[in-house]
Amino acid sequence: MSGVIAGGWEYVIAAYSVSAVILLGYAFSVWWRYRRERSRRDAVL
Amino acid sequence: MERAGRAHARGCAGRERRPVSPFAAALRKDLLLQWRTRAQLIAVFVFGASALLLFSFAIGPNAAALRQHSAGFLWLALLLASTLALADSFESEMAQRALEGLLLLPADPRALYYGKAVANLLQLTLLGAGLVPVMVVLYDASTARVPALLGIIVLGAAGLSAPGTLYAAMTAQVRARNTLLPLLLFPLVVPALLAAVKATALLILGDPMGQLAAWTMLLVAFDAVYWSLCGLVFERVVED
Amino acid sequence: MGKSGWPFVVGGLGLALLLWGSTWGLFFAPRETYMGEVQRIMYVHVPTAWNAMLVLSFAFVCALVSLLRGGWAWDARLEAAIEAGVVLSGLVCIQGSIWARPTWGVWWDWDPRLTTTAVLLFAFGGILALRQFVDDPVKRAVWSAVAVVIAYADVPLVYFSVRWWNSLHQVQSTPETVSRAFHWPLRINAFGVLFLMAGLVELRARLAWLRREAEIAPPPPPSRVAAVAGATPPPYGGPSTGGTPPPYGAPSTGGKPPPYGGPSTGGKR
Repeated sequence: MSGVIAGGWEYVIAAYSVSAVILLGYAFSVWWRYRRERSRRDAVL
Repeated sequence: MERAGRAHARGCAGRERRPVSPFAAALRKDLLLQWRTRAQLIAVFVFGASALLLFSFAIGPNAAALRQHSAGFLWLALLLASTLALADSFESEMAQRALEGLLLLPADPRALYYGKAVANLLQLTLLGAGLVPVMVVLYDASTARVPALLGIIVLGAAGLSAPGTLYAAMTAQVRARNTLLPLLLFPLVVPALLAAVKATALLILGDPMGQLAAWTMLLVAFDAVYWSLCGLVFERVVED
Repeated sequence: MGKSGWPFVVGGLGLALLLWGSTWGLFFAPRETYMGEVQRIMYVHVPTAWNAMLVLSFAFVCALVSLLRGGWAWDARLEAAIEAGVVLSGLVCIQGSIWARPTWGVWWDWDPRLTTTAVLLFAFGGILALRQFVDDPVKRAVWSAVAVVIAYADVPLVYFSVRWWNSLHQVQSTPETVSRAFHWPLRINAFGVLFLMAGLVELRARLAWLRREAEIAPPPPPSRVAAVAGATPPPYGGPSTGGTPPPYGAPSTGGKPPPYGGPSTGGKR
C-alpha cells in the first residue's frame, strides 16, 4: 500500500549524501590540520 | 568625570559625607556620560526611525499588512539601534584605559556592570518609547493600553540591555567590534525578541484569548536569568 | 595532551557503525506507512540531532570547568566542542530541511526543535568568530567560556518561546515516536556518530593545544635542545614539564602573578 508520500528516494539520497560529505569532510579537515600542526611543531624542534 | 568629582566634593565640603553605594555612583557616572553625549542618542534614534521607514518598503503600501507587522518592525528597529547604542556605551571606558582605572577602585565590579546595564536600559527604553509614535504614524498601529506598552518596552529593553552590556564590554576590547556585538547578541535575545513582538502585537491588534500575561512572564523570566547571570560573570570578562 | 591513537580507533569504529546503521536503515528497515521512503532520513537526522545536543552540552561542561578550574586542556576541548557542535547543528538543519520539503512542501517549517538548533548554530558560530578575533589567549579562553555558558543557558528559553510562538499558528506532528521496528538502525547510527565525534573532538582538542603551545610557549631554539647531550627533548604538554604554557585560570589559583593583586585574592578590594 503506498503511503501518503510517494517515492521520495531522491530526498533520502540527498540527506544521506550531504551527511556523508559533511561528516567525512569534517573528519578529514580535522585530521589534516592536526597533522599539519604536528609536523610544524616537530620541524621546529 | 573629574569635573563632576570636584563639583561633588565642593558640594560636600562642610557637610558630612554620606557613603554612596558603588552601584549608585556607577549609575550616576553612566547617566552623566549619556547626558553629555545625548547628540549620539538622537542620531541612534534617527537611525531607528529610518529603519522603521525602510521596513515598510519590504511590505509595500498595504495598510492592513503594515499594521499587522508593526510590532515586529518596532522591535527589529530597536534591536538594530541597540547595537549602536550598546557599542557606544563602552566607548569612554576604552579611552585612556579608563576601564582598568575603574576596576582598581575599591568597588565590586558587579556594581560597575549593573550601573552600566541600568543606564543602557534607560537609554533603550527612551529609544523604544521614542520609536512608538513613529510606528503609530507610519503603520497606523496604536494602542489604548499605553502603560502596558511602556511596560513591555521596559522589559524588552532590559532583555537587550543585560547581555548587550556584557558583550559590549567584551567586544569593545577587540577588533571587528561592530560586527561581533550583533553576531553574539542576536541569537541570544531570540526569546526576548519573540516575546516582546508577540506582546506588542497583542496590545496593538487585540488580545481576545488573554495571552499577554504569558508572554510577559516569558520576558520576565528571560530578564531574571540574564540580569543575574551576566552580573555574575562580568568580573571575569573585564579582569586582566 | 595525549598522543595515543585512541581517537583514530574510536573514530574508525564510529564510521563503521555509521556504515552498518545506514545500510540497515536504507535497504533493510521496513517502509513506514505514511511517510514512505522519506522516513529513512530519520536514521541520520535523529542521531545527528542527539549528538549535536550532546556535543554542545559537553562544550558547556568544558566552559564551566574552564572558568572554575582553568587549564589550557579544557580550553582546547572547549574549542573543539564548539566547532564540532557548529558542524553538527548545521548538518541537523540541512537534514531537517531536506526532510521537510517532501513532507510539508516547504524547506523550513519553523519546527521548534529545528528552529532552536538554528539559533544554536548562529549562537555558537558567533562564539567561534569571537575566538578568531581575540588575540590574547587568556581573554579568548575566558570570554568564549563565558559566552558558551550564556548561550547554553538560553537553550530552554529559546525552545519554549519558539514552541509557543509556533503552536499558535500550526499544529504539526514531528517524528517524535518511532516504532520498535525502526529502533536498531537508529541506535547504531547514534553510537556511530557519537564515537566518530568523540574521536574528532579529541583530535581537534589536540590541535588546539598545539596551537596554544605555539602561541604562548614557543619551543626553545634548536641550539639549546642540542646542548642537552644526546637526550631527547622534553615532551610538550602536561603541567609538570618545562616549556608548558603558563596556566591561566580560575580566581582561586595562582598562575601568572596577577597585576594589582587582583581577582585571585578573593576579589574584595
